[in-house]
Amino acid sequence: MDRAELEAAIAERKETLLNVKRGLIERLNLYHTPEQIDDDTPLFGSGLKLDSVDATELLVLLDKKFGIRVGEGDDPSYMRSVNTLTSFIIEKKRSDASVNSSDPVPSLEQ
Amino acid sequence: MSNLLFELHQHNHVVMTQRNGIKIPAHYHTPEKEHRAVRQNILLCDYSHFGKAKISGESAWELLNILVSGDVSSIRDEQAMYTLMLDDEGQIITDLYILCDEESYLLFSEWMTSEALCERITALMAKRSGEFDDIEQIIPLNEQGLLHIEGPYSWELLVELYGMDVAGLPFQEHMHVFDELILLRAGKHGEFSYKLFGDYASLANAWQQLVEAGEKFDLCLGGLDYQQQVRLENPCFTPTPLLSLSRCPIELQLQWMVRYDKDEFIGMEALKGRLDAGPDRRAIGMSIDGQIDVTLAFGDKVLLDDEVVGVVIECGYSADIDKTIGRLFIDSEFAWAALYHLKACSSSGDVIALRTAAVPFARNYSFLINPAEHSYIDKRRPRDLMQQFEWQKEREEAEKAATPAAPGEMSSQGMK
Repeated sequence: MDRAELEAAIAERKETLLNVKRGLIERLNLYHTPEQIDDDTPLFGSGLKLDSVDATELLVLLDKKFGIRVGEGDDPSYMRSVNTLTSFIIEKKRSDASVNSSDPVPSLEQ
Repeated sequence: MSNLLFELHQHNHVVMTQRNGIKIPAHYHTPEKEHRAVRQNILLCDYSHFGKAKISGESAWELLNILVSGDVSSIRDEQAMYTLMLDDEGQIITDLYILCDEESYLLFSEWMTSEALCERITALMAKRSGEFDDIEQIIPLNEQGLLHIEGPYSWELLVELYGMDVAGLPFQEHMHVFDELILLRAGKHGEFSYKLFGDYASLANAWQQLVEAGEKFDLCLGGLDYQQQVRLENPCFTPTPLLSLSRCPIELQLQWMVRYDKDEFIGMEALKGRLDAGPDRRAIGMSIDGQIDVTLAFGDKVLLDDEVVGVVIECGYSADIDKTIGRLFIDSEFAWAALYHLKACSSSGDVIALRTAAVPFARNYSFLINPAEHSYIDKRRPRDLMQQFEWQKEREEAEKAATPAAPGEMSSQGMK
């Protein structure tokens, strides 16, 4: 990974983390500011202390804010912390982008 | 200091260690066996090294609310919280549990003696002279100990001994059980975890009962040494060696134990100031696939190209995930997960590439277990979520095979 790639990866994570934190604060009415939520903050149990109702809200957040529909095959461990949720979003976006880029370009003749 | 629980360990000829001035078992078995028990079934340990104190009086919660960074007003009777005690500079002194128990509060700290806990409370009271005159008692609880029962099926063993209510006991809540013992559900390693608090004689009795009833759960006795591996996989606040690098909740990613919206707590202004300025360095996870030949240890340099950007906090191998894992303390601008650009340099000069990572690393088995559905001993119930899905699939396939095909389906099948 060269320096430009590194800077791009950091920028992508920073932006996604900020959007995740803002989304959590708005949707779950948290008292925090984004800066007060550490990246490795657990979502359930300790940490943000979310419950099963909040878990549904997380799915809505993923859908509405990030356009991600969670499937049955998705490993639920993405819900462990703000960081794992962010990694899940970044990976989903990347896999969607690679699927779209490998789609055959429609021919004008069709 | 001797008590029935200590005598029991002595009788078992266990290697002892000392923490907070209290002697407790270092280990009963090999670290591997105790680690396997905590991750797969049940480990029973003596945690009597925890400092324990009791405070009562009408304004006890207000006094505690200034003493710790969490919101004590948020807990009611039989509820508990996990929080931090900070100094005036907003640096961590210790982590601790606070239990609201009827008219009083119990404090359990892994890193502070009972006397030191009481001294902190008394000093704060003296500083705020006249504000907390209705505090009735602040007492160290040295005649009481603590047992620790941890593992994916620890709840099931405790149900056998103390009844079904244990199965429904929420995280960070507690209940009174036999012999005036208090059972608290709380832990730091991602598994089902409970603490049994009471006088040493009752705990020695409970220890024997747990051992006897735990046989069918393959319960393993343990000492404190197992913590090294589980805390590598599920990092939590441990003063050594971390505190020589930082005691700041922001740098250590422990702000979730801080309630900035409280009116006040010791260290609040200093902490807010540091938050506004932003931390220079932060703790972040690291991982390398497989087990490496190089030994990385505390203080080893972390490099970006040839520039030193931080140090290794801890590093070790987890066979459960087949990765070399650990934590780094690096410049904030690079302290982001999932980056492949950093390297660590061992004391012998070996350089190895690593990946920054989110913590915790462990994929805790307890997450696959629901006390309402699963069991370790009842063979009629699935052991975990995976087996539940397996059985469900088998049932569906059996039902499908037993159902006679509809006439339309028969004719179409016949046409093929």
